[in-house]
Amino acid sequence: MRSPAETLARTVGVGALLIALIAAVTTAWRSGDGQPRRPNAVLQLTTHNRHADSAMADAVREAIVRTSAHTVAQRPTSQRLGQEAQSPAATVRLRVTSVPAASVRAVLGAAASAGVTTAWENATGVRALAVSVSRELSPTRASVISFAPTMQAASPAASMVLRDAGGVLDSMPVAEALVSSRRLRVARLQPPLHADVMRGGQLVAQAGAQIPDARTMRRVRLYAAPGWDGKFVVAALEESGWSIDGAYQIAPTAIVRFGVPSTLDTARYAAAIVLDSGLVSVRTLRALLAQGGGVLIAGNALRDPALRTLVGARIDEDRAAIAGALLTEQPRLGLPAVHLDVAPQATVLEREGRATVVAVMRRDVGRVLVSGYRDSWRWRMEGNDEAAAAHRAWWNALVSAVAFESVTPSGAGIAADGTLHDTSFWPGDAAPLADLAARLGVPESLPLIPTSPSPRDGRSLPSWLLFALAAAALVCEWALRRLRGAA
Amino acid sequence: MVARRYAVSTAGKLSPPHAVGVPGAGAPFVFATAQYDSGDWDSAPMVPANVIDAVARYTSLAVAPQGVVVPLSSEACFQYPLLFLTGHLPVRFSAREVDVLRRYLRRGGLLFVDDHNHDVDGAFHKTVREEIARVAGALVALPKTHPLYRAFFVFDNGPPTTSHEMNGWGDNLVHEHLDAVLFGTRLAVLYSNKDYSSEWSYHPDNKRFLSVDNTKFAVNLVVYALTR
Repeated sequence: MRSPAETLARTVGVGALLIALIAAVTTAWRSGDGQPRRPNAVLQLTTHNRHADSAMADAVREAIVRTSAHTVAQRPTSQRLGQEAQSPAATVRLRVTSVPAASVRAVLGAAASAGVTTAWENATGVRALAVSVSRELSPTRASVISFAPTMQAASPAASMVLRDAGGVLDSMPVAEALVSSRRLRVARLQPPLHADVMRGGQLVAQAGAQIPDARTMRRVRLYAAPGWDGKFVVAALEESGWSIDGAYQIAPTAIVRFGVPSTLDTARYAAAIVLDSGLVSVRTLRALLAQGGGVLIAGNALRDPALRTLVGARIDEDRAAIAGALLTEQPRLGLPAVHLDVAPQATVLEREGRATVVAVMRRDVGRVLVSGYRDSWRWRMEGNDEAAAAHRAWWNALVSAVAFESVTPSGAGIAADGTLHDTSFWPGDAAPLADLAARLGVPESLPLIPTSPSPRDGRSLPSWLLFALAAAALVCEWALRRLRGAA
Repeated sequence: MVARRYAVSTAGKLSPPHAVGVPGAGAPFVFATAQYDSGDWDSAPMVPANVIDAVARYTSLAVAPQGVVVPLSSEACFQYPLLFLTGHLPVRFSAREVDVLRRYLRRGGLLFVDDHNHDVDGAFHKTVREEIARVAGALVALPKTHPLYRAFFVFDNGPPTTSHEMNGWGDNLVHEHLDAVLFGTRLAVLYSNKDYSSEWSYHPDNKRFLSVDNTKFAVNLVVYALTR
């Protein structure tokens, strides 16, 4: 005969065992029915999607069904974003912890274009990142890398590393606020160029830039009479990096040479500057133009009608120097000049009112530039404190406008390991976050969705509680058996 | 602006101010002497005429028949990218002169300074070197291979020796080289304590009595300034 206490204890034990069993069966059923919990889904299908053609789309559809928000955030970007966005007509919610690659952005953009509504959160910590490369307007044609990384407010410290195929170029901390873009001058770059933003040792954003073709500038030949104008033109150009050759007739039997003057052709020279007439024949200049070289005619050389025929220009009127203008914001008005009447096909670079002073035009495969200014050395010597730099930059720009350039494609060539350089470049790589925003819209702040179900959600029991119930039932059953008859 | 500007004729007399030719393409070269507040800037009045004579004699350069005197405190200096400065007495540039000269050199001007005393420790020598160091930087020895010595005439041994170096006055030393301040490769200041101011200070008509023209180096100086 069992005591009432023993009966009660046995009843409680059996009940607990049954509860544990029912809970376990229920949990197993729920986990196997293939129906995810809506609140945990990162991708919410709002309309029926169209049948995708590729196997990739099938995989994406499967990923949409099975993947949770937090799981997406933890998986490699190339997998989690590229696969899921292929499901059209879905609402995709993405939390981006590192900026996806260009191919993934393209897939997302295509999905968005196909009707997938995508909401994304920029969790990279990077607010903006952009990089570009340009060639310096100088004979060295050095590369100038411009970059602008900024971090989001209160984001952890990050650093940016600039690298090309040759290795790391520079690295620097990335600040929250950037007043203006920074620049880095590099003599030579080997593609590809990347700007990597690293945070905690992890790559969170990468921008790339296309490197312009390398250009080799040859020397410049000057034809001028000895005088201050020729001297300071040479000084300005040499300070800009040009190598100048020339010869001055100092006396009937004495010629003073500078540089290594030789035959005028594009194998040696990028351009010829003619400041005085009678020092070079029009035929020689035409030969240079026929090879693609440049000719710059200025100063008293414009008095020579034969030289003016190269650009089809004629002198309209003489203008005297305007007193005091060298110290103003229009310093070239302080130089004596001639106003030109140029051929219709010429491109006017500088005007004074309606009068043309500087113009350039194509001649054969080369270019001819005419400048009506004379005695430009006075600008450098008698102008304001910035005049020397301005004079240098102006002459450098004039010569650069006509100079023959020997172009070498930047992507051409074979790397040290024997492989061909990868020249592929996605335009959006220059500003990947902006590219992503352009494809998916402005990022927003998404609610953080937990990985596992909450023990308080009432829908399923946590495993530790099931285990505790089962263990308690077994202990209870074991105690009842051990205590049977002891009373 | 120009405080005082007047031309020095070849006879050494002062002429009234006039529109000075600007040396550009086709414009004549104008020899300019720097006038400074301290010391005796006008201690060698015949030098300009002799230099002008030499340039006209040996070259086909267009050269103005008269030189000019330009106050060192005036921005008129900027019109003359070659300036000649000499004297016997201690030199102390005023603040204005320092400012103008510093800008002049930075823009591309060339200042030729000659010690009329040719003393190693003379007053002009010591003070003007200090002033040059203050304005442009320390003077260094100009090598004898510098293009200046081949700009027109060839001086294989560097600067030509002057008769005044060993005439019993001054330090009685032959100075082997000139000193210079270089901005990069550009000659900004050329300093001589060989006393070219005395060597060249005679009427050009008397040049015919010399077996060797001692102003040839002045031609090199002008040609170098105009072409390099």
